[in-house]
Amino acid sequence: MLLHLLLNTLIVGAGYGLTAMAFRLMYSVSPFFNMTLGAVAALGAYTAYGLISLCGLPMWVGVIGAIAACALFSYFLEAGIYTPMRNHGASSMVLMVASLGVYTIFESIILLVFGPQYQNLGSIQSATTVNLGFASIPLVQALTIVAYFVCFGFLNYLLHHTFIGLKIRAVHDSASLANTIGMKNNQIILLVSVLTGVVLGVNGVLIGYDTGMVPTMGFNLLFKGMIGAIIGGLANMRGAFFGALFLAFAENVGVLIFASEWRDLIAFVIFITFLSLRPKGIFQKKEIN
Amino acid sequence: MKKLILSLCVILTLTACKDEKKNVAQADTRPVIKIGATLPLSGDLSYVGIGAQNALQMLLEKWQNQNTKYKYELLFENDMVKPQQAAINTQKFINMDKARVVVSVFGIVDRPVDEIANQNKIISLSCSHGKRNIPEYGLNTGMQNEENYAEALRQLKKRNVKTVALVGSHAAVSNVILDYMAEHLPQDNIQVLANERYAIGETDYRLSIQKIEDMKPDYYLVFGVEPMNSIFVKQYNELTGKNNIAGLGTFCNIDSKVFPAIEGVWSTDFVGNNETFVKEYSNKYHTRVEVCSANLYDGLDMIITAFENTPVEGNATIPNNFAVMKNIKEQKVWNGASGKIKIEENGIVRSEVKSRIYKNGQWVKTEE
Repeated sequence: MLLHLLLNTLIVGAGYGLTAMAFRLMYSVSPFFNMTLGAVAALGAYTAYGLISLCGLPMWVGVIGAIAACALFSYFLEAGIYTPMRNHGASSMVLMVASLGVYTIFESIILLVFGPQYQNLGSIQSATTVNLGFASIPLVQALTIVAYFVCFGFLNYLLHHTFIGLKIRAVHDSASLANTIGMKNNQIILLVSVLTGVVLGVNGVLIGYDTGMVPTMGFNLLFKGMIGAIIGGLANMRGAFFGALFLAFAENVGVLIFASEWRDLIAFVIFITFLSLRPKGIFQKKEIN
Repeated sequence: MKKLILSLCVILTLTACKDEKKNVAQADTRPVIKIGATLPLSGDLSYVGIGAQNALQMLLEKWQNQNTKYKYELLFENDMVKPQQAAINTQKFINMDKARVVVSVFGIVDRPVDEIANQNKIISLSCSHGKRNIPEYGLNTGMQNEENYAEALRQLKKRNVKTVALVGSHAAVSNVILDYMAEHLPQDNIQVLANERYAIGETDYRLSIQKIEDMKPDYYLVFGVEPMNSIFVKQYNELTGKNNIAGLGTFCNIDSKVFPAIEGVWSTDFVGNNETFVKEYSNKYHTRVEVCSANLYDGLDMIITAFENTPVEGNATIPNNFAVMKNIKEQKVWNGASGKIKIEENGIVRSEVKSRIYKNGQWVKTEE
């Protein structure tokens, strides 16, 4: 059972982790609770469904199309809504409320276009399994774990070993100072929004294949990702990576000891505990006075 | 010149349309009976609400093609399965729209709806599984535990099942059904090894299935709201490679396109026992029939029939609701979208519960 617990922690944590990393990445340059990130992931799943299942396009076309759609959607949300609002001096609270509005509109559009029923990109017949000795897992779950590590590696490299990463970190550390030295903050934010869209697109497609989709999927997805990122610490990508794993582990232990219905309760107890006792998360950044 | 002619044409067309509408309105002098439906039209359970909305609209279209004494109008409001919102919607239907009938789904919502409707002597049609306390002006078309249990037990005995695990969504409706099963199955020599609930919207059941598998149940009985049913079946199949899993009334809305490989999975069914209804619905809306759609279709069909057949008293233009309810209850038996149904004196409408099995890529009725 311990091995199953660890395996399931990795599967669930990878799903949370992809959203957590996207949330952390976007939050680093645009610090507000952006509800539309959930909508971006949902768009990924539904675009892939539309292209593959409804239009009959090859899988690779559908997957690339869905990821591209997420990147574009994320870019246009930032360029068309949040950047103008930020330029007009909108506070984080105003931006959050706006994002809630956009999310609600998006959810309604999904409901209108695809209907309220549960959809899934893949069937059991087409599911290939990966044998781990003690258990077999569907290929899509193995791919989620791979995507989780690849995204972490890529984003870590980008942020810490490239000039663009340096710029992103500069905006994260102090947007006003970055602006003063001539950096174009809005361009950095737009670039980050595209990257965030790609990560969420990958996650959305994988979820579409694994657990399927309903129009309301975005909110739950974002919420767990956000909790993972916060308990890990928003200071760096490691926080999002390990925070998501920690959250998945705690939830799964809770499932084993108590019952599955308390999974969300466990997540929120951990969330509140961290906010009260260690608000900057597990990997909190050391303050330099 | 062209623009002038075009403008004139547009004006003439609009005038003609306007006049035509006026004539139609003048011609139709039938009293109007308004029916207000408070349904979950958005959120996690919107598939049930929209399914019910489709079925009710389909029914109204059927009646509109007939020469009825009254003109029926359907009004819809979204309650998102929130009792408070359902109560507001009901007040609006009764006080502002002057509706004569209110419709709702789910036990958590129809209690306030029933209460408000009954206080105002308005007919309250609901689809709530296992609901027993129906008010004087109430009619509940939801599946009753006795029928569901009897059919599930019959199928389990046929398969020589000795132990089961009960799983379902963390919702009032699941508790009503699963707790009834947990109470009665041991009396029929079937041991209940687990009785698990999951939060609505939950997508990961793997570890829980592993935990239950350690107890080695012969069968799983599931009553969940989507997407639980679909995901649970998928993850159970992925983990165990077995198909010893059955639904208690809700599996038949799992899309065959979603899980073409689950051969042999069965479910008690009340989605719609009348094949004509199922075909008509699917052709019209290009989607499957959802839970409660056929039940509410039948319930409203009975109510409209009763309005048409109940004599009007004194100077009234519409029969009073008490007489309409009496007329419905006197019918006793009805052949409708959910098959042959029985109407009891206490407002409970009992549908036939049969089983369907997933065979050769589609849900078919099980052999008797």
